[in-house]
Amino acid sequence: MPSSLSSILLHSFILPSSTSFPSSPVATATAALLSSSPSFAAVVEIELVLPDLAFLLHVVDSCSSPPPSLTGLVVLVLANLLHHSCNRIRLLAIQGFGSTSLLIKNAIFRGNGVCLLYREWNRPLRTLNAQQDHKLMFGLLFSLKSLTAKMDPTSAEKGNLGVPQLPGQGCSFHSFRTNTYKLSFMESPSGIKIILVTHPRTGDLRDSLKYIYNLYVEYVVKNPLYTPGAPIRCQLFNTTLDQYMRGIA
Amino acid sequence: MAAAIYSLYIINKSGGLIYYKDYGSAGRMDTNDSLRVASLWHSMHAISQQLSPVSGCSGIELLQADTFDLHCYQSLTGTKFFVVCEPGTQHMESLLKYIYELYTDYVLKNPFYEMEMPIRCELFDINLTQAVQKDRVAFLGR
Repeated sequence: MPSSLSSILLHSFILPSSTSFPSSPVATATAALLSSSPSFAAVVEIELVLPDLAFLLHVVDSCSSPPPSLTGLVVLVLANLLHHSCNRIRLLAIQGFGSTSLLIKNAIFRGNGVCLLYREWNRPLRTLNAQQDHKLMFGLLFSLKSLTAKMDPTSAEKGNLGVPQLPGQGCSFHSFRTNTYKLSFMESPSGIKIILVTHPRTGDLRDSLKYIYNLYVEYVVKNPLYTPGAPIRCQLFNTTLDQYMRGIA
Repeated sequence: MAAAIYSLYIINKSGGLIYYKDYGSAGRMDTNDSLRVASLWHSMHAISQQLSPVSGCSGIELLQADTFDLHCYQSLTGTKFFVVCEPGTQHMESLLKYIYELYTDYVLKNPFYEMEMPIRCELFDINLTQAVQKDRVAFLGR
């Protein structure tokens, strides 16, 4: 492997997804694995794009001696992570240069971004595909929560922007309205997010959201055949939900 | 019912903050944070247009949170004016349109003002404070 790698390598691995991605222990393990290599002189940016979280690991190490099979090392690292389920791993860039500081940046967007249930009752079709829609929605809501927690005018002590907030922590928004739709949002203490997209002139839907959460508890959580975190396939829940939605529509 | 405006932000069409004024909230932010928040809002505004189930969406106009409301007005040129106020404050849309008028009069017509740069026009500040105060007084006097 040449000592001055300035080519940009792009590999795309598409793998089957199994369980949900684990949290930071794996991430720190990855970082440790990479940094423990004795002669690692490279900037490696690995972006793991998963259905429910994006993981960006940026490692810059300083060493003067050229790296051993760098690609091999990175693939080894990725192989460690693979059995935990990855939808797509994208190796963005491998470059070599000598810097003078060891810097590991680790940003994890974690959370229940897995869409458990999506129902539509009356939707004029104009959209991206469903998967992208869900990801976009999760991203938007996550960032909006972060924004409202930071912008809260009644509290002086706030964390930094982008720090993941626990369900009850910080000011959270309950709805936003555009000229074509209104989105109402509720997050339960267990992290389950309920979202309703309605006509812009709809009133306050917080009670409806609470009712839907109660339906969820009754028909889904109390269902012994349901595993938490899995997509909801309870017929009774769907029918009751439909009835309720038609009732309030 | 006292209706208070906590702060006002103006963002240029690329998402950079060009004006930030805080009218006495406990959560006053320093420059860096206000810049970040403004850029974040610009992106959120754009993403919300993508999520629309119907075509022709022009972005978030009102965001309701537990302790504040956020009203946003986007001009035809892409400049966004948004104001953070108490929940349930009325007439924020007309206030925002009025602020847009003040912006066109005192900022855009100012020959020394460079487009998309931070606003440093005294007359704009004076008239803006008057407009906001007048609003507060009008509500309190009811």
